[in-house]
Amino acid sequence: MEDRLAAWLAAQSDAAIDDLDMAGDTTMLEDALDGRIVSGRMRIWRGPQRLVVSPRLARLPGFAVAAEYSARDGWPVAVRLSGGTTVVHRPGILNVSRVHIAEGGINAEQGYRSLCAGIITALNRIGVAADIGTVAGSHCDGRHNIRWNDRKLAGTSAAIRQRNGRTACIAHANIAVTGDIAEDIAAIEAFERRLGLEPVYDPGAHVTVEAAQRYGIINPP
Amino acid sequence: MTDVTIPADLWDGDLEASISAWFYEDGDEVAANAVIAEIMVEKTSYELLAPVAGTLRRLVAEEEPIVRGQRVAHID
Repeated sequence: MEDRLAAWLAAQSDAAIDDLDMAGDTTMLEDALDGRIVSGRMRIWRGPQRLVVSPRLARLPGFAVAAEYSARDGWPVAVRLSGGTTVVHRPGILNVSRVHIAEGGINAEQGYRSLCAGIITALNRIGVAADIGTVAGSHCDGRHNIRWNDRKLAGTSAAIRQRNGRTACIAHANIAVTGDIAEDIAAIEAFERRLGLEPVYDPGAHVTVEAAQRYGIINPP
Repeated sequence: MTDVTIPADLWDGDLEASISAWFYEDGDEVAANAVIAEIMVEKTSYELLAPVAGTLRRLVAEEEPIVRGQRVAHID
């Protein structure tokens, strides 16, 4: 399922599937700012099992201790470029990153829209009708989640950087293709509680691509 | 004195935004184009650059709400 979705995404957007992990996003953003790649470049990638947090969460006073406990529980913690709160990487989660470049000013809306449009098209090709919006009760909620039946399939976040009059936005999606989302949420909640936050997330607010596709097969329109 | 302002086109509408981190203390010397702060708008992070070299004077605290076009610091 994961390979199939990755292949559809790669085919329709001329994206590269790579094993560069999170460092690939930093490189792609640097390449965009230095003019080495064109706007619209996309990469599809997977990460090992871990939690991934925004720089903002990583600056909280209890971060080092919370991350140490999380690692002992089998969920090491990494820090990404973009905003939001805590997400999961593991087998069964597909990451998609897309760069948008502009001379002068830019805002993130274009980056999010372009990223989500490509993913929604690929999901449609495998029988999952998706849209964009918030999902109450989901972890790392935002306005640009990719949803199926109001349940979150993927979360998105972005980082914008400027250099020498050029601006680049890297937008990233974290797609739950297969796996146990309740386990993901348990790990996220344990970590965020140790950070002093009060997370209350609903596993029912999420759905995997595999489950959404299965539902579509059993209940055709 | 040069104002440091939040670009008016950085985001659309009345989204909630704040400076999530200052990377220099008030009174620090900064170089032109140095990244002086991180701005967070929903789930998007932006870098705020120093328009000129000089002494940074911060006008806004971390996590205090900001709006587009707001003067958040000046550089003497």
